[in-house]
Amino acid sequence: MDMLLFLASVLEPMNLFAILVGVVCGLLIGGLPGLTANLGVALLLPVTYSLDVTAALLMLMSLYTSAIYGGSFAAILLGAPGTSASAATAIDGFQLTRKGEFDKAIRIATFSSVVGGLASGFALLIIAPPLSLLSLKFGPAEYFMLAVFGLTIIGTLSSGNIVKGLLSGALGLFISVIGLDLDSGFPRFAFGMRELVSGFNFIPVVIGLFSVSQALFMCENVHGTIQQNKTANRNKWRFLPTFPEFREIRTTLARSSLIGVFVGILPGAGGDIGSWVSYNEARRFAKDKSQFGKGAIVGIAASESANNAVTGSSLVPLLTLGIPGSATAAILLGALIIHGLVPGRTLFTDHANVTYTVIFGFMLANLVMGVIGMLIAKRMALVATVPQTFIVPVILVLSIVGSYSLGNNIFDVYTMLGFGLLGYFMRKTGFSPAPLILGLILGPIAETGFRQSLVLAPSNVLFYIMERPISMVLLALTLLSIVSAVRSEWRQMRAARDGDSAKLKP
Amino acid sequence: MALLPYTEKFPGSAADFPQLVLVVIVVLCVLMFARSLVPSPVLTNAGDGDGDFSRIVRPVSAFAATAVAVFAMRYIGFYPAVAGLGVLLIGILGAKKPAMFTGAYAVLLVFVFLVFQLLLKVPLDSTRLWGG
Repeated sequence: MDMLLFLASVLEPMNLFAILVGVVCGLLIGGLPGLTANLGVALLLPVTYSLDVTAALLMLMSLYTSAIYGGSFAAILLGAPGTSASAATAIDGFQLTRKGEFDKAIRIATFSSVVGGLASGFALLIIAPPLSLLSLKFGPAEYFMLAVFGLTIIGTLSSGNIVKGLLSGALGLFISVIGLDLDSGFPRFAFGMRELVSGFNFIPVVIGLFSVSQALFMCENVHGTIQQNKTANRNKWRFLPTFPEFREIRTTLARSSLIGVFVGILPGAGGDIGSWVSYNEARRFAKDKSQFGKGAIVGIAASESANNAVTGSSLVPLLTLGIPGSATAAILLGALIIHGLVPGRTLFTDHANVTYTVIFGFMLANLVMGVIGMLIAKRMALVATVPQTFIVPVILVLSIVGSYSLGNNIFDVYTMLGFGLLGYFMRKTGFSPAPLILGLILGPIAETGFRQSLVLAPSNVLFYIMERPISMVLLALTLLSIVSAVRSEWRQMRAARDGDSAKLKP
Repeated sequence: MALLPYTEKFPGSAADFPQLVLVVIVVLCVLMFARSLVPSPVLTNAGDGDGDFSRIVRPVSAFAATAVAVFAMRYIGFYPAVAGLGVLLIGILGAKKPAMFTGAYAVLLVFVFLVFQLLLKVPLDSTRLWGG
């Protein structure tokens, strides 16, 4: 009965207005490369001071989830992910846009994001307390193994050349160690440069590798359009996936939502990791792996459902234990405290009306996000038919502004430019930038886990890591991932050798 | 390889992980070189690139123009530098309709001003923050 009351209070005009404002702001922020969900939540936080606590939290959480979804717009339309969490979406989403199937890509992305967001809402509602206990069992050894497992994803992200993929990933790991060592305070590989002491900011690297390199690629064919094929009938705009599409992605949706929920609960592992892990798993389970990277809707569904599934579940440790699992959760912790709420058990007892109303509102926000997103996307489809001469300056200027606006730091702009050129030549020579990003994300987690394990291990660090049950499970998954990647490449090579069109190169 | 001796300056365990990564990079480079010597079928989906370097003049020129504009921001400010970048891009990209390009570019700059400078309070017009 109480639950029905909480559900009804979501529909109060002020709460609905808060959801609407949060969703629209989130879509705008997510759609612009360089503007992150963290930035959006931080910007909107002062606006919520004067609001009722429920409306304030609803506005911030609606912005968070829709910003993550909004990132898929630019990823699909321009190949330039709006947020780092939608970088995996760009791989197949942009290829579909090139084929003139933007509507299909955005339809799948929207549906998957809504499903992922709803899944995380249910997780928040039902399994939050027991799952939060599992996250407490993750120590340094488990985090190290999680990072190692994540790194094996490189093998399958490398599109047919594991060595190049691993090299790209290793480069990402190396870049992640540049800057101040938090244990000793020693600036590693800074070479006396003050700017390098704090290392490379992650967002400008993503903007450079994906957005700028994409703009440079467009320069090769400036008078063409993103959409290379004319769509047969543009009037056939559908809000929901067709039944065959749904049948194709349903298993991926379920698997990726679960992965997203699980990853979200782990402190420090955000939407980026969730989407890459899901993308890898979707590819590993796919019957036809050759479609990945060429416009596989399963790839879009995996990435988008997972990154939105992270949004709600990343609040599980915050609400139940007071541990912010992500930067956005940390800002939301500030919002809770500002409004006089203390994370922990009291949120589900004394303040149950606020907590459950916010959770139900969060689920409603995901539905609202889907509807508004599809309405906006219909108009945005026109961008794919505009000559690239007009698109290139937009990407370049927004990349400059987006990198600069992160911290008003010119070094971020230089970083973005440098990685833009690197990304262009990497892609030109068959190196995918995706493993580099993954190495960059997982490097700090792997290093911290490894070094803390070294300290904690009574004797041999390997025995220490392997004697833990969760580490054993992660090790098994790692081995499975490696074997799967090697087998996949071997099969591709055999198929190419046997095929009539196979060419030999020295 | 040249970076490996540099890690010896790192105190305590700060060198362990970078050394491991650098060794892995070296091993992978050797592997890649060895693999390139063995004849193998060309995989149709090997990477994103087409390997065609005959068309890199325009992308590299666009990149150079952007780099020059970013460098100029510290002296002349964001908006004049980005306006200059627009002029350069007309030539580099070979815009067929310069008037329409200029109009669209002006709309872009107005959008940047409204969203980033007015709404988000990003100090784009300050040459000092750009390093000037």
